[in-house]
Amino acid sequence: MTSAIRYEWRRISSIRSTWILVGCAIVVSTALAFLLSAAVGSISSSAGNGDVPAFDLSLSASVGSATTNLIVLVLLGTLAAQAFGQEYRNGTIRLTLTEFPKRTPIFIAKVIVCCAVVVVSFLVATVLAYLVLRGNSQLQADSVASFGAYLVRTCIYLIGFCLIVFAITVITRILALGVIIPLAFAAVVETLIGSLLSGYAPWIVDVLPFSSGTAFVAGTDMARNGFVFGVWVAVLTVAGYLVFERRDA
Amino acid sequence: MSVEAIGLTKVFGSKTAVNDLTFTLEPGVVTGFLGPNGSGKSTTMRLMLGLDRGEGQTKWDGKKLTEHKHATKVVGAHLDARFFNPNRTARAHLRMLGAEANIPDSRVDEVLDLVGLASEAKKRPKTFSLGMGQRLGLAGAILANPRVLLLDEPANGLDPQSIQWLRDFLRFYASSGNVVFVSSHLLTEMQQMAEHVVVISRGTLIADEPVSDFVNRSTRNDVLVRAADPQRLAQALTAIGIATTPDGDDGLAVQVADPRQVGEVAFSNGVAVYELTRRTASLEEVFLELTSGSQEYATGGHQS
Repeated sequence: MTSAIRYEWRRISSIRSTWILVGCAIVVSTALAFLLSAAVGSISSSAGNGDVPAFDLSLSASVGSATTNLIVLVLLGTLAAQAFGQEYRNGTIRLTLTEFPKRTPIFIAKVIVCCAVVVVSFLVATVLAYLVLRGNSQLQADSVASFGAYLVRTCIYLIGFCLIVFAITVITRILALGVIIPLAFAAVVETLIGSLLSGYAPWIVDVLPFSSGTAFVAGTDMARNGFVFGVWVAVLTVAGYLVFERRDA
Repeated sequence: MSVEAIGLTKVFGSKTAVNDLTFTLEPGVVTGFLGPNGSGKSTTMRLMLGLDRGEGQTKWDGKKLTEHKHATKVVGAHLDARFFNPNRTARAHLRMLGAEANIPDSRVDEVLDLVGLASEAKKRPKTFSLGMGQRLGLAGAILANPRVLLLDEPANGLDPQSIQWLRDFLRFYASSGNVVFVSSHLLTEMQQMAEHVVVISRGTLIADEPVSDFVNRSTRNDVLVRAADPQRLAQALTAIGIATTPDGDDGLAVQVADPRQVGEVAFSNGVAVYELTRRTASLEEVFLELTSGSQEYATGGHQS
């Protein structure tokens, strides 16, 4: 297992695109934090001298807006999709699986290394966004415990998101689809399903993966939403693993 | 170490690409793997490595590849000259491949030097020619000093000097007690390189023997004799059951293995002999003879 992790680390760290994606995710998050801070300040000043602004953004929600928005998810999702997508595109999966004829260790190594890079990138982006937004007194500071809990939930969500990206990339063997399909579901499809079907089947929103996942991050009915999101992640990950294990390389 | 492929079979839909293939690769010799396009050579190699899922198994020193602690120490494979990330430098590519067996960086540099890519080590292979890609692939295959080398068309795209280098290298590698299994369409080159051949056609084994035995199978092996009276000599040879066919104005192609036999018949019949030559078919001729009509992608009406 150690050698598989070493292999995967050398794979992911030896291509420029990894660091470009990580750098872009951090820069975008920080830039958005600056914009958000400026927007809060601008709205506050236009609200009148000494008046309390008509919004109650918490610091954690603001940091979350800067670090888990669609742009950052595209960047980190692409990073995750590359773990399998690049290997299939360039044929290097055959070199990898010649070195590791037992496929399970390399699958686990890819999950561990890639999720670790994504989570560390997210945490760096979060720290920078926090430092930027903390200076804005209009934002309501959270307790350390509350902010910590938010970070843990977001990290869990990101890992789940990466596992879904892995699964779809392995099943389709197309890097772009590995990113586009989850993001399309998260940003468009689930919203449409919710709008169109909620009248007929109001429960449907409660069983959609990303709606549940984002509700879990927000701390809403965490047990149920976390369970629904977890089931989706588990089912797709097992499907991806079985395809990876059984299909021709 | 010997390698036993046992009952390898691979079916794609209704087509059987590899059909119950069994052969053994012995150490110390270069074994050539021959077959027409689409005959299943690459699929066979992938089955041996466990990359394709099919029936049968391959034993590497009596064990499955998955049962060895370090697969890279057992087998090094080079299956395609384009199996690399175009944006990862040649050196980083090999460092990645060396991670499984924790190969030191000094070995990476040594191998790059050995295949003639030392000056390209820090370059990204997106600009590499096919020949350079072959060298990088070979470097990856030999990186961990494996006891078996599996190479799929490694000479494609190489210039004559590089092919000669490859031939010498593979013979040296095999002579160190390793198994070397090479597929190639360059049959003239294979004849110089390999001492043993495994030949398949439409996924079925048609030969697994030393090159010399394979070549001796040809009906084109004969003796050319040029004589003062070829007709009289032909009658004398036919009388003792040796078949002949005219070859030129004063020549006969005699279906016999030993030219001395022809010389003795000519002498005893008082026929002057001007030339007596044993003609042996080339590997290419025997290959074409045995696989004629079994090309998967033959041009219309010109199967050879």
